[in-house]
Amino acid sequence: MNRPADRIAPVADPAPADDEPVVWGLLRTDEGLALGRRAFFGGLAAGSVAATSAACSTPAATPVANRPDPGGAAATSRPAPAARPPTVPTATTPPRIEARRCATVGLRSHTAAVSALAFDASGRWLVSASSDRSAKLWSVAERSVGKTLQADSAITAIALAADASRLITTGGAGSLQTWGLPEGRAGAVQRGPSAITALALAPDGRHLAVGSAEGTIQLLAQPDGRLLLEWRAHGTAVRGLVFAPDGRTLVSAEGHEPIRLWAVPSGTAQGTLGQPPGPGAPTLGGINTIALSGDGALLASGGRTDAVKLWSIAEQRLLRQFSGGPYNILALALSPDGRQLAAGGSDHDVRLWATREAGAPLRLAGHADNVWSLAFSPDGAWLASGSADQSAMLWPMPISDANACLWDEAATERGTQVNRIRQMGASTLTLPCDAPLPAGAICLCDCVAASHTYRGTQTVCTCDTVVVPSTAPLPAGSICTCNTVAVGGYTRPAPPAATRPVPSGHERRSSGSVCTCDTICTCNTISTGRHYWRPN
Amino acid sequence: MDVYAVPFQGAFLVYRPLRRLAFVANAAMVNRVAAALARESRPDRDDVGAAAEQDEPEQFLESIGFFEPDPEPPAPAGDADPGQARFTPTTAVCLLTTACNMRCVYCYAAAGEGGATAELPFELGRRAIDIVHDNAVEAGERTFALGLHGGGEPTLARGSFRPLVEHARRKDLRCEISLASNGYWGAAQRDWILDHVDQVSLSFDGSEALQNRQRPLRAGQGSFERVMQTIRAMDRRAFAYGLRLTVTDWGIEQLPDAVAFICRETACSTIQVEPAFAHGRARSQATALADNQRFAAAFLAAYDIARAGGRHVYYSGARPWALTERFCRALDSALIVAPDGALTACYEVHGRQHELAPDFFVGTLAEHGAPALDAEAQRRLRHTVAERRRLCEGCFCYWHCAGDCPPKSMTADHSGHLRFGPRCDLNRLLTKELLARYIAESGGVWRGETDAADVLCEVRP
Repeated sequence: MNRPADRIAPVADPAPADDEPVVWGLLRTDEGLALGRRAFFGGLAAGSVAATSAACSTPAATPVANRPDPGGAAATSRPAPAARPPTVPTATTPPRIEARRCATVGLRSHTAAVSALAFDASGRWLVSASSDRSAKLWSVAERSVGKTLQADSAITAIALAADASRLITTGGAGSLQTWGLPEGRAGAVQRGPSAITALALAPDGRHLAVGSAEGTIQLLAQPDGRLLLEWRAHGTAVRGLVFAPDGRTLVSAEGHEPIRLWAVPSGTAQGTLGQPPGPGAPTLGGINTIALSGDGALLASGGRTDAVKLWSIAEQRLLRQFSGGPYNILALALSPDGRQLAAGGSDHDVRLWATREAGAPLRLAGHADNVWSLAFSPDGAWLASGSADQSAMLWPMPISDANACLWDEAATERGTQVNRIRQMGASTLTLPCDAPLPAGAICLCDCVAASHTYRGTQTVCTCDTVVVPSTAPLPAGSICTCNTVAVGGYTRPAPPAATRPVPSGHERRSSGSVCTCDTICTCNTISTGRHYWRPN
Repeated sequence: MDVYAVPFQGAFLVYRPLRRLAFVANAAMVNRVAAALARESRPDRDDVGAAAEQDEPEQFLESIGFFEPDPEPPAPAGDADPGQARFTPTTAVCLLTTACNMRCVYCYAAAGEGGATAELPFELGRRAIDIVHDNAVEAGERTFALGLHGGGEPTLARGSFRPLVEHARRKDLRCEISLASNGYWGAAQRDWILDHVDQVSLSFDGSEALQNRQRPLRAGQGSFERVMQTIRAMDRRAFAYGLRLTVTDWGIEQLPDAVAFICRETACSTIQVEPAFAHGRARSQATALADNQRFAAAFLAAYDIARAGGRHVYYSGARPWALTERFCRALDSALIVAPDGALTACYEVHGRQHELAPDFFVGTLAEHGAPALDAEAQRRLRHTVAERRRLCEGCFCYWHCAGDCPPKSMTADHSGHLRFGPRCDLNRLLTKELLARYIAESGGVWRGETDAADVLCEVRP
């Protein structure tokens, strides 16, 4: 072997498909680790629909490198370039990430289906709404409920102010409940159409668009709820409403195309996306939901069809279609930069496509029932998903299987066991037992097994706020919270009969009133020397 | 700035070991990183930065802290002038005996063979303890350390094992006592050891079939049952111990099952896995592991099993969780005394019959007075190790395996000739694969999180 020469140096003559810088995510497969998908960039040129179109029409520029590579030579094996029309067939079995299933292990966000999700503009807060008549304000960093808002009826739609100062909820029966945040104070009830099917709040908070089962749209001034304008936008129920980032364009959809664009506040038609169904074609179910990218350039639509459609708002034309989704798509979300498209629906999995490529989607398996709601955080760091399984989750982006359960003790079954993990940045995660550490999380301590009956998990660290150097004793009075946390009326089992001595350099951790771990604490440090490797 | 780009599955693993940052990128991204680093290093960097607006790849690099400077690397240990390094060890390692009650098929020392056994006299061991204790006092340390090893089973050294432990316990400073053993103990001996020793590194091959076949007793019986009793006793006490598995050519495919067994049946949190190298009985019985690829595959499978069970499996040559300037500090900070009073720089080179003894034997110890050190031998060995390490500059494992285990990276012709070979390949391969796992588990960018708890299997000074 020659002397190693690994220091970074320019790579001469990279493959043509390597022209564009790419950072890869890694996925675990049955065969080991594989370059799973394009992780960070290499997708659409920022804010440039024209660039997207050009790329789509230029076969040589069609990047395919993030597709799963069964042969294990991802960077060198290049499928044939896609040709127009823009629908790209799914040629490979979609990779599937088996993530932790929050609801299955008893960690619930609500006591009924999670019907809607919305991040505020800072990305610090997420609102979930549910058929259980509640909306919850979650701290994204802490993964904890900051406030629970009790409504009078099941919540079917929400609109969150960008600054998270106000939330508007509706159960669909004509009333719009306003809430002051973060206190959760119930405000005025505004009146809307008798059967409300969709809500959208303009980014500046001045206009609320309310869609109805009759196909009308009302524009209400905010915060007073005064009716500014009402017009018949569609022939059937409005299924989706979204404001463009500038607040001057409203996009609406009914159960079929065309999707319509409106000027705000005039209500003047600005254009359409798609064509009306032909004679004899079904007029409902083609569109259940729509989603707009953060820059307002791209719109996704999906429903009971075999594809999700991606539209250019500026060009008012179809860019491409994405196959490989569930039969019935119930929720869509586009990442702020438009590069990631998430879909959820009737088969419980969340799909994730890179919008430029339209290849096989990544499947995120974490829910146990239909996925009803999806939202990307404004910084693109998180994808939130909500389901009829009563759970909401946060998926780190780029994706991994380290999803986090948004877990509310009030909605969680008694006796459920969880891990509490402190994450870098002083936030604390709550995860099911057996859950691995999420991306970016570190353990401040390791809880090391101390009995032969111990069942280890990937993440056994549940320590509190003390970082202890290797071999140093715990400070007097410090307490580590252990990895079995009682929920609800959990009864603490009797302590073990024998008291085990604690190894030198450690103190037994008092486990508090609800903690029952048989653990000792040792620290997770970088070794800097003193290595003595014993020979065979 | 220490930055590496290592080929990985047709792409590149971009790695900053000191910054503890890694991700996988394509060639174009590597080129962008290289260009950005070149620009960062230019004297007129600020002007360049002002003129060139950051594009997306650079924004990404900025966002993950890629341009932040390296922290201080681990301090060198006399590399600059190896001949001038002072030798004031605060760890005594006593190679107590060549006797052994087992006949492990891969034993590097071929322990128990060769007629008469040798045992370290108590007086020599006591002298070693006194010396390192005094060094620790002089250095202002609060503790010193004693390691009990063998070319055999140290607990069989009836005249020195317990007396030395008790002597170390009577010293002014606290002594951290570690024991490397096969764990074939009786109940009374076990209780005494667990009462008096701080850490145990137990050689145990992980399943009944492997243990009994690879680590039989002298008469050929299996050792599994009694060693498991030892392990269970340590578990009951929450005793700090690590298990050490040796992988033979015969047992390689069983390694994942062996680790699964340990995860299932014991509370051991750190499991060291080492291939059997062709030395001693491993050479004579042809049990050494010849195929590094098979070892790597089995090790990674075992690693994943252990990871899922909350345990840490490691191999000494691949430790991306560690940053160090030395593979092993025995040469610098341990006074290692063989049964005949010879001072060696490595536990593995335990007797004068070892083919590397001329390179590693650095003096002798008498019952009284200072050790008689062969300064030239020490200087020569330090120089060889430092030279080897300089040859490793440019390798992404530079801060992890740090030149690798000296006796495994030197030839036996006493020429000090240094070579890269299959073990180096193995170290690089496993380090890369472990980094890839860290990246996968970190969601795409690794920032230093590892599963490595404090490694209890280490025998530490």
